[in-house]
Amino acid sequence: MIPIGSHPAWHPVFEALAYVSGFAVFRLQRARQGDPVPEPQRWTVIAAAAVGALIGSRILGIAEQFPTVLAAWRSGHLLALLVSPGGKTIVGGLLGGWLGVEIVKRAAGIRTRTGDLFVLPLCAGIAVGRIGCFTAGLADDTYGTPTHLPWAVNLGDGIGRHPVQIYEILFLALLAFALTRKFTLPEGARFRIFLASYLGWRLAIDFLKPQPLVYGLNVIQWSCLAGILTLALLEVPAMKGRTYARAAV
Amino acid sequence: MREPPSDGFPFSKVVVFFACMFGISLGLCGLSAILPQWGSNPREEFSVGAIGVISGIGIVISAFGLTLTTIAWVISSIVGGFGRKYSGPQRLFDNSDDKNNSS
Repeated sequence: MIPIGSHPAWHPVFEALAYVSGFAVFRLQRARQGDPVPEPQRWTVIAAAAVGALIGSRILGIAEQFPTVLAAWRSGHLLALLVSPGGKTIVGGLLGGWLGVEIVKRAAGIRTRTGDLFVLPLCAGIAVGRIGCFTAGLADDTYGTPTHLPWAVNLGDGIGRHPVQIYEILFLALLAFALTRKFTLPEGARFRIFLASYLGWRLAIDFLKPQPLVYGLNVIQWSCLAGILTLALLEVPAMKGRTYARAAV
Repeated sequence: MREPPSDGFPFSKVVVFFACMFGISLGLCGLSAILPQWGSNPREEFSVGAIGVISGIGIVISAFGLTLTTIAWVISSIVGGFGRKYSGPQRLFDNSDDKNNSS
């Protein structure tokens, strides 16, 4: 069992580093690959993603902590809980950001697929943020279930647990490696593959987290399932359209 | 939401600025909790106490700024009319025939 302990004060530091590293990787990617989207529209997309991600991560974070929210409401501390910086989720951030961008794109008439440039920054940002979750230990709700595996970590309670955050960092490294290979994909496909893979990963890995379940799955897993179904509903007709178009040529 | 209908005010850039400020303030807030464990004296002229105050002010200002700018952006876009889509440079002549001829 590897002793780690719980150091919650590191969480916000790594969260801030996650935003900074994500933005830095984005700028690097954009300078290297170029951008199919003109600059004013790109800023609009980034702003929509940021606002959507903040709102989505907070809403899902509150839904995940529903018993705590209910207790705070009963004791009259609901406002303090709602404005506190904690209680955000990555899945909520991804889904909220995606929804925000799609709404704004539709409203502004932007037809170009804009997500591909976000894939590597998101992998980097989430991985850095997960270091913060790992160091926060038991204070964060992202720790793993007990295990006797040799790489089990002790987060301060003397119980060996799955280092689920480290699993996720490794998964993101693999995903980033796979999605940056130079194979030809339709515009926007890399982002959709990233989103589907990450949601699928969270659907699976969250079985290793001791979270309250609703009909067999936790709130994050239900959200992942909804996200995957939405992606499938949007993507399958588009794929059929491409196949028909190719057959017609 | 495009920039032109809101009289050129760069709402999107201001929103991103406040979002970045919020993230950095959050990080400073964590640092203000970590540094005392490393022996920094909170009574020094510019010390952990100052970082905590700065991060607190940063969080409040950025949260308010982000909320207000987003609301203003949405309102100005609605007033400007979502119907008018983003317009790129207008082409005076249709050059599709030239392309067909050259190919």
